[in-house]
Amino acid sequence: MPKHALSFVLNGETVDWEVETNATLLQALRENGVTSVKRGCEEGECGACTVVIDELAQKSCLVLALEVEGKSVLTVEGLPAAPGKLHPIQQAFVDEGAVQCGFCTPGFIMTTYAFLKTHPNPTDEEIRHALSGNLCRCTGYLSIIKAVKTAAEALSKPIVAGEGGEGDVR
Amino acid sequence: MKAFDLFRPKDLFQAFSRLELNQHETVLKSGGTDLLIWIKKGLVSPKEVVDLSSIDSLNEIEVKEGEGILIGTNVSLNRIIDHPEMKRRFPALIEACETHSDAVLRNKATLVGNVCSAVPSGDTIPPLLCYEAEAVVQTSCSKRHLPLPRLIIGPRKKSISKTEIVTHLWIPLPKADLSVGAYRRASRRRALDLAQAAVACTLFQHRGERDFRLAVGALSPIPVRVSEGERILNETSNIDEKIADRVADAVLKAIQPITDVRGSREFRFAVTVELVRESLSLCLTRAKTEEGCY
Repeated sequence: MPKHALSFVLNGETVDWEVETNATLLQALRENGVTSVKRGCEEGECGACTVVIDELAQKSCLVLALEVEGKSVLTVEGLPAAPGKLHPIQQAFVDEGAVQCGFCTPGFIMTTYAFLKTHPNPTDEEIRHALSGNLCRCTGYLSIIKAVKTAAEALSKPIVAGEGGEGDVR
Repeated sequence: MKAFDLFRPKDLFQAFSRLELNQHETVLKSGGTDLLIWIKKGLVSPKEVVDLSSIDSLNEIEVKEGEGILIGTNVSLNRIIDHPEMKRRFPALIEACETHSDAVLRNKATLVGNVCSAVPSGDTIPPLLCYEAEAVVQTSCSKRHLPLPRLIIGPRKKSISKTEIVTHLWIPLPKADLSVGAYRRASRRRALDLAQAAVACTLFQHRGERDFRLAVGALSPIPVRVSEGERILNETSNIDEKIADRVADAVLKAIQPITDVRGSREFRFAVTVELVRESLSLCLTRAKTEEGCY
């Protein structure tokens, strides 16, 4: 099947790929080495393939690769973080024991990233609602909900003068 | 996923030209959250997908004061939920949108797409029936408004031809001082599941006159209004438990539930009674507490 040119911004950098018309964004990302994006159910149910497209969390198994032409796609690989450090959401997942087998974690982190942009001080109920499309078979969810709250607190701390540069990961 | 060609038109003119050229081999896509799964499962095998999501003019929600609200084919369910006018005017629809899939999929799934999938359990269809929504159906040279009961004619079946596109939904704004509503459904889990049974109840109030509407989903080949239930409600000034039971009886007579993987026919009959009571009770409570919200 002939391939088509696709140009979009991936994790802050413009990329030019060749993809088949029926390729999902999930397939295209993984075939090009972006393997944080996990292939789970491929039916939009598990959320393991969640990425952020133009500020909105999306399940990449239900997005055709050619749909992101000209758009901006963010995956865990592109989360802003100070050198040698994790993004505060990733750190919160580690600190709260919200990662067990880890397969669902990138999807949860990207859903959380988009969610906290619009809900900087979420309630437990809002968190449960926002994460309802991401499934985890290990943690029982409580540690994940705690991690989202911890991440929200970390992201809401004011930036101290002089620490803006590499520490400012928002 | 089976191979197909993808055409991403920039405007409706390009889309109509393509449909007229390849009408028997194309399917339309907007969000695609149903279509891509159907292609993956082999339920549809299109030669070409015409992707309407590339048409910017179909992204708008337009409020025409005193007349109605026009919703473009590409408007996602989350944009409906977040739209203050939609929330104020059509609360049962908002509740149905919030029940659909999950918070992430609703960034992609569209309202028009949910209608056009025409599945019996489509969450947004019962409230849209209550609000008497119409599909705006266009060809390259014509435009018509089609009430939803004339658009959806069977499970996954629509009455329109292969060269027509549902470009918008039109929801009329009735004269009312108050609009309240409720959507209640039974499903095995709250998110990411299809309805086993669903009931939408809406109430418009205008200068003391009340206009109840009632519709059900997942209980018959297509979602339907229950006119006998509405008649009982609209002819009764004091709605008590006995009236609610009469309404539930009217609903049971209007449905033909089946036994499938999500639930048995008997369960669906039983749970429908509860959903009718619950949605009606919510509607009445909200009418008391949200006076003047329209």
